[in-house]
Amino acid sequence: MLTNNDKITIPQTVALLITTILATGILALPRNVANAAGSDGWLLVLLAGVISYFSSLIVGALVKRFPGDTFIEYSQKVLGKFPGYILGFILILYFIFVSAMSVRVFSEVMNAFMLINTPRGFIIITMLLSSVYLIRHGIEPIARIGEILLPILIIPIFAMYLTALPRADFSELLPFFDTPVKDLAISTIHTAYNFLGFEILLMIGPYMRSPERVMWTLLFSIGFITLTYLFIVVIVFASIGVEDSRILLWPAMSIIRTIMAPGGVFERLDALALALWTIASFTTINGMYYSGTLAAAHLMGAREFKFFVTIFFPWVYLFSIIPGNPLDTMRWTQISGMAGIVIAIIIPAIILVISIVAKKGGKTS
Amino acid sequence: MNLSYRFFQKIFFPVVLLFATAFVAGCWDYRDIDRRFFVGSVAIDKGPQPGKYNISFLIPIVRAIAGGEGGGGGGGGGGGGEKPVVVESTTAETIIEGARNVALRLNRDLFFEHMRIVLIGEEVAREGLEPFINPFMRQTEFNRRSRIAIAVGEAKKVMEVRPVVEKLPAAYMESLYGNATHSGKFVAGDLGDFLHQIHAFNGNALVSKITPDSSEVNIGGGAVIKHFKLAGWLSEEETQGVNFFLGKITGGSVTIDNSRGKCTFVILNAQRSLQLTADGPVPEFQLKVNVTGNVSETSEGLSMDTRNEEIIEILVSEKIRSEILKGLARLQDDYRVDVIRLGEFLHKYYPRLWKNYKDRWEDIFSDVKISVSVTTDIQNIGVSK
Repeated sequence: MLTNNDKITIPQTVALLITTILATGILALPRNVANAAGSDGWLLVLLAGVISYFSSLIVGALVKRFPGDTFIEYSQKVLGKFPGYILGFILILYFIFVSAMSVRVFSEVMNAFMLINTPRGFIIITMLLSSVYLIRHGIEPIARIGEILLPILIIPIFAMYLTALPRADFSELLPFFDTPVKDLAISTIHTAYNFLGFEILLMIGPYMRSPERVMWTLLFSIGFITLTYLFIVVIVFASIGVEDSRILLWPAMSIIRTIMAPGGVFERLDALALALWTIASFTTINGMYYSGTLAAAHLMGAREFKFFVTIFFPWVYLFSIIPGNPLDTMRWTQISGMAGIVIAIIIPAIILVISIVAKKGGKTS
Repeated sequence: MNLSYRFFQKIFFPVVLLFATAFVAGCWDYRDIDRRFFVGSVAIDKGPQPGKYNISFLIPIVRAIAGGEGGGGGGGGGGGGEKPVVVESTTAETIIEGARNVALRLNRDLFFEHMRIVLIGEEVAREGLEPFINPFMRQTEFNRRSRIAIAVGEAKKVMEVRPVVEKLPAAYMESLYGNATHSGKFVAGDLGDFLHQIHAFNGNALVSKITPDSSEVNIGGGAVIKHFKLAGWLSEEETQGVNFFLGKITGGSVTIDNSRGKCTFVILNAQRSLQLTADGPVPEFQLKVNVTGNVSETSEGLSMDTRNEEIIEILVSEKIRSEILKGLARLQDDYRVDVIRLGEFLHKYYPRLWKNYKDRWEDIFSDVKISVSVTTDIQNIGVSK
């Protein structure tokens, strides 16, 4: 029951996954890991990356087991009509909520660093409108945009943070392994929130041209994200120190303002940085929003998903203006992170186990 | 086509276009450059009542600067008599409030993005910095790259210095801090470093000292901050010693004087290594400093040969060693505050050991034994024997 016959290639899937996972959450990541584990924060990123990869294999296994089906279909096949329906509804709600939170965090960063007086609603609506415009054209353009924007996003991010190297003091990463193992384990789960985004495979899995290579796709995407996160956390710690990372709301953004490239050629990289985070947020919203509308279309059995793009627009906006201030936003993103763990790991795991036990699905069926 | 598509074509898209034409052209954050004052420096002094501060802003007048640089030709004779900078002072409880107060008198917005230096008056610093340093962290408009210095006496006096060599005092003061390759007798660090020290070391920091004169300022020496309060000053020599200890020397000079004559040794580079040698109730450290540099000036008649070279190396090492010890003695005995990052060293490299010292570190620090050894290598002697 594919509503759109377009299929995406493996490189496109990788690009889509990376750009969806990479969001403005990365700006706050150094603070979160510094608060959780101090100078061992970078270790947390590494652990969370490994754990996220293994968790994402559950989603990958489902994609392989039910080729041609989305979460909506196989949850109904495996759990029965009614529970599947409920889960589908929760999934839609989750995707809409995550889109709302991504656009909200984006507007928050914009308000703090560049557009101080611009009304938040305006930033959110313009961002959502451009997203809506793209999403209406289906998965293939979204994936292609991801493919085009990925190098535009990644290369400048690395280049920009590399200019912080001359001032960096890597002894800030010491002491090594000073955090109790129990604390590390708990905080790893929280850090794993930043790796969420691979759950869009629940919806876009059947659109992959070669779903049998989904494991490699996941390995490459999450490995790449882990390296990027690790790089940024290490650079931030080394440039402003662990203690300042604990205090600043978006340390990865604040250090941009301390960077002065050799020779003073690039003295002010704020504009570049914000342009990059605009791209990062845009692609994240695309992935999440699209998955949400796709889920709705599949759940309602509609022939067209475009209708739902328009319908969800006000809802994304309304969700995004729930938090009152940045502190509230942080609390809500924590909630969406916890929900994400349930949606992306726990529920797929249950479905996978039941489908194996009950011998439902599988390639041959 | 279905309804949704028609809706998109006929209604949604035109509305978006209208929306864009109306809003994209203008912007809420649009500010003309001629509607702003680019604050060059902020000074904080003690106010008339406790809890109040005298906040001063150093504001360059762009019109006057442009007129002056154009020479006699342009401007119709307008630029000549105008002062390039003005100092605006106000009494307020915080810096931000001060900036808002000034809005009653100045027609333009104060803009801090290009601020070069923060000046803090001696008296205020002795009372404590914590009530007013937070905006430098919280507000994105303050640049972490600007400098910070504690002024001897009133900070406003520093602002009122009109340097002869440069037109803009703020730019002049900031560029002084770029002289680390010429001298090691000042504390080179910016607001970011300062905030880092304050947050990482429990309110202890080593900050630059600035002394105003009639037409110059002097940034030699250092200010020791203990628990957000100014504990005292370091002399230029002591500051150089502490800089040697911290491994921050990238230039400077040492002059030695003995019976044979004088010799000025210009430092090119200094490597240091710090080691923990004993970890009893009071830790002991060993500091090794290796200095390389040039012999730049000697008394007439003092020719360089292997023997003299060795003597000079030994004497320079002795001199540097005594500077380091002087700096350490001042910090350990007089101020009893660890701004030489020994605690940080222990925390980073001996985390388990640090846990024993952590709570009593302030008492332990002044008893810590540090043995210092300095070696010197002469690299160049110029082109005279």
